[in-house]
Amino acid sequence: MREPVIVINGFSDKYTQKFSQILAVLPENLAIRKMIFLCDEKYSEEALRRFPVELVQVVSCPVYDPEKILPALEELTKDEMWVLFDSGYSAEELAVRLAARKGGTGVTKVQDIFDQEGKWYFRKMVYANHMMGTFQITRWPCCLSLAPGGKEREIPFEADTARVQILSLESSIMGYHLEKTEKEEGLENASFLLAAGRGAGSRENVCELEKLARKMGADFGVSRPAAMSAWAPMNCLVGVSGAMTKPKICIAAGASGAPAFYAGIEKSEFIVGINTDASAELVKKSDVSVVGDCMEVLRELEQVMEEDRKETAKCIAVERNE
Amino acid sequence: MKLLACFKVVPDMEAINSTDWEVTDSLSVDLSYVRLVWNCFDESSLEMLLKLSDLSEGFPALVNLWALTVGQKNADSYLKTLYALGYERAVRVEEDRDLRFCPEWMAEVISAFVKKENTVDGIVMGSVSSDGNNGMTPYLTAEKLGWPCISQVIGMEPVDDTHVKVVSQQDHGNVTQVVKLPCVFAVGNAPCSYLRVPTLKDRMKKGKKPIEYLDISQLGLKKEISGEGFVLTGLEPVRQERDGVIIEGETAAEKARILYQDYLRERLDAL
Repeated sequence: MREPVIVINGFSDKYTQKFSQILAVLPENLAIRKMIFLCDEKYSEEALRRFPVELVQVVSCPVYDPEKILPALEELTKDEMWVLFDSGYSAEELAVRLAARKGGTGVTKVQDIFDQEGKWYFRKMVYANHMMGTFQITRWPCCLSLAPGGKEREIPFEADTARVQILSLESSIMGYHLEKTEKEEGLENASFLLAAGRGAGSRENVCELEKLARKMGADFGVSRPAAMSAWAPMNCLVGVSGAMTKPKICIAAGASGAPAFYAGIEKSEFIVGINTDASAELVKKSDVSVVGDCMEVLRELEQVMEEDRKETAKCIAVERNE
Repeated sequence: MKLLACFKVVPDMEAINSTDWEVTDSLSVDLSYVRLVWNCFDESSLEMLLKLSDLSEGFPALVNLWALTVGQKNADSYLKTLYALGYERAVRVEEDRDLRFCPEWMAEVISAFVKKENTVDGIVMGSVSSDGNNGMTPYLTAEKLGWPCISQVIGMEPVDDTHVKVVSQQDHGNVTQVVKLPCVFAVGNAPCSYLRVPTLKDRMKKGKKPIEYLDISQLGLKKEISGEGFVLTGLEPVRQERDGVIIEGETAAEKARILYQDYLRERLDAL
């Protein structure tokens, strides 16, 4: 099998990270021949030339318009048996729809890909992240998109490695308006995170937890049930359909520990679980847990931290005076 | 404007203990004892259509809502709930086979229904279901019908008889656009999207309407499931346990103090 063509979503600012995630699922000795780069009109040819590929085909469209981008992808990949997309919403949509147009197989949220005795397989989470499924690909061509939050491999950038070709498209979307949402991306870079679940109990409590998080110096996120109840905006969502975080410390408060939420915090270095039920999944999946009402515990924790901060400040003042 | 909501009911996987995830010889998990719930993204799409219908009051053209599911009899009570909430047609395509990893087949059934009816202006469904986690059915349906598709929809408003205003969550932000029907809408992380509860009066008055049943052959499809390009060859539970140390203490204050002093202080100082 020839190496895959890869498709990177340059509409997102995180395209370099997405490229490194693609590298991580491919065998190290596999050279990438062609990268298709989807973007608006603002892209840097110079930056694209540094990617370790032979050819970069830029598909430039004023806005993300899948109805225009798909025919272009169809043309650019017409002889390809294997197209590998990065992770994210557009990758999922384009991989499946392109595969359908090529008469092949589309797959989303793939964790890894491997071959065994000449057959190709992929692995992905199923049953709401409770199980890992292994699947054999039985029909080619195949278009796969990766699961978000996967491993990364350092990109061996070099000056002027790639040739760049440009294809410009027009969009026909009516009444287009883009509102940038920054917070979810912020959560993915958080070093200290407080993530609340439905056990927080109410919108008022979630608002209070957000304030406590701010006082403690933590970023704030919520589980899907809490976000669906509109206790916090959707861009605070942590989990498979939201931010995939990797903080040094994560306090998960009033969450059940359901895999769809846990997937968003599992890369945390240290997890503190707070739940009223000692047998909750969250308790087993935390490094350390407090069994109790998350509101009470976090109010007390913030108090303890505040007292410690004051004490430290007092000590510093005394040392300076001496 | 006729809008079709496609939904699935699935076992409540949060209700299953981590030790109960056992794989059978046929590469499946026995979840027959678990209560069923709306697939959460489908629930959002069903509620989103009700809101769209509320907003279209006073418009010249009525919004007619239809609901379609593919599965067994245990979905019927959910279809009756949709009648009670104002859905005008509730249809179940009878199917008792394992469809966890059959998104092509699902899309085939949905598009066959839409072609047969020939009056549907839009299809709304969740972007993914929890059991198979395929995330493909809306996109394959759009491709089979040759319709455009909007992914990760989080809000819809009526504009006129043939257009809707749609907000969708994309990788780079939230996009608002006006969409001409017909179109497939794949619903994502929509806020305020738990399905409303019908009143007892509506349950009594509207919920008794008979559900429409269809057989695969009535949609012009062959009995055999076909079209999938991958096959399940392995299934294993994911174990995610950590140390699980429980902090002992009499009060929340005592536990918080131990948590901070023994586990957090040093880690926070190192940030």
